[in-house]
Amino acid sequence: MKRVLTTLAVLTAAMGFTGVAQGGESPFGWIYTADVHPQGTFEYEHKSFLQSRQSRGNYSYLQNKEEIEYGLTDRLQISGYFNWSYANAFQNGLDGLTGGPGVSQFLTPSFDPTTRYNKARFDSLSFEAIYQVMNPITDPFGLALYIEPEFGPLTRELEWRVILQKNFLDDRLIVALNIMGKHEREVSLDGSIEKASPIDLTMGVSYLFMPNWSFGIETRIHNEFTGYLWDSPDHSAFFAGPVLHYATKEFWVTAAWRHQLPWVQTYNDDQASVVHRGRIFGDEHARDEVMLRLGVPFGGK
Amino acid sequence: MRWTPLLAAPAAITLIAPASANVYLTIEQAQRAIFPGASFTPAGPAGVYRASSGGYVVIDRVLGKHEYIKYAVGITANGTVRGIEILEYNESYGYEVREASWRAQFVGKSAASTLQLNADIKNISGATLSSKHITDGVRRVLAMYESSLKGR
Repeated sequence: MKRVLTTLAVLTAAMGFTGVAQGGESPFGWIYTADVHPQGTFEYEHKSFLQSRQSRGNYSYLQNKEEIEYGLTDRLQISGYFNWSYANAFQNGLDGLTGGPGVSQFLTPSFDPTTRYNKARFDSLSFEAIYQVMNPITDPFGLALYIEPEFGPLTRELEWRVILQKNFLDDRLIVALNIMGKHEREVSLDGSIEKASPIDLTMGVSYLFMPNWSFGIETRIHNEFTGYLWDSPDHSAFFAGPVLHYATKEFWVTAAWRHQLPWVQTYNDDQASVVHRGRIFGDEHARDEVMLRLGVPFGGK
Repeated sequence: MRWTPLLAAPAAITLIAPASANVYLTIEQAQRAIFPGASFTPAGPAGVYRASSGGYVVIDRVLGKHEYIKYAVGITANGTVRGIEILEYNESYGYEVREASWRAQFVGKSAASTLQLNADIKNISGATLSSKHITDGVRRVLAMYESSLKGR
């Protein structure tokens, strides 16, 4: 873990401070593009990420981010997040007990797992830096590097991304691919500690079909590992769904939906025990993922 | 918790949000800015006007990041750019394309010019997409002049 942190810190520090850029909004729900904010401009962004439905009962886990992004240079964008969430679950496990992502970690030993869990909470603060290596408008393709450390009372996490983007048809058609890794440590209220290192490959296509409006498709290949550095594989899960994006000079809004496809692969008995009809639930995933993003840019004139 | 209201939120926001267009020049104002003192008559293709002093003004539009950028290209009688004007611009960033110093780079260019961003037209940091699409648009207008308007 320390070696990964050091490598990423050196990579970030080695980034230069010259170049060109365009606004940092992405037409996708989860996928980042290689655009960054112009120097001296900033943007408020709200993200709501909902995981909904497991194999039975009721399950909703809404993760929210309040974010300020700032263009430090024309190639380097920095951000700060305030992360909070709301979870509502009732007998949603395959065993009929209450739990799931964003729930099980927060259950105290005295909680009766046959009852409903319903709570909003502060999760963490996180910081983000995106460096544009190649501009998707003027270079053959766009390339950006991303790093996001997150700190919370029960969570420590480092997320990184390699962001690739290629534009076609006079920049109306955007194809983007993210390779995302996380190194996370989560402490549960029962005292247990979970170390994980997922690797996600997300790919999307978005087309500006009329002024202001884009429509696209996003896919996610998620690979979960136990341990900070991919020590042992847990499962691979697959998601896909549509995204709609509307943008004007004053604001933009994006709504996206990803559905877990019934193609899960598990690599140990624990993981296999929370699979139902080809989808993995338990403390791992929900059936549906919905993202709503709202951005308001400032400082452009 | 139902998530259907979340999906309805974008539509609700777009319906209640105020929409205002930044119109900087009318067609007539752009014509006068490029060919002062001239009068103009439609020259056939939509958006093309012949100047009484010789030359043409072509009104065109290219897509910015979100909306169309409406602009005018003035072409002298010998086929070189006399000037360009931005009539409408409605983007979050990139308003620097309206600056006279950037637009002046197009003066004297012809259909034989390269007209490529970062080659003979300088890019504007923070306005890359607008810079590129306007440059591409002027190149297309000059090609249209060469094939359809020259010598008429």
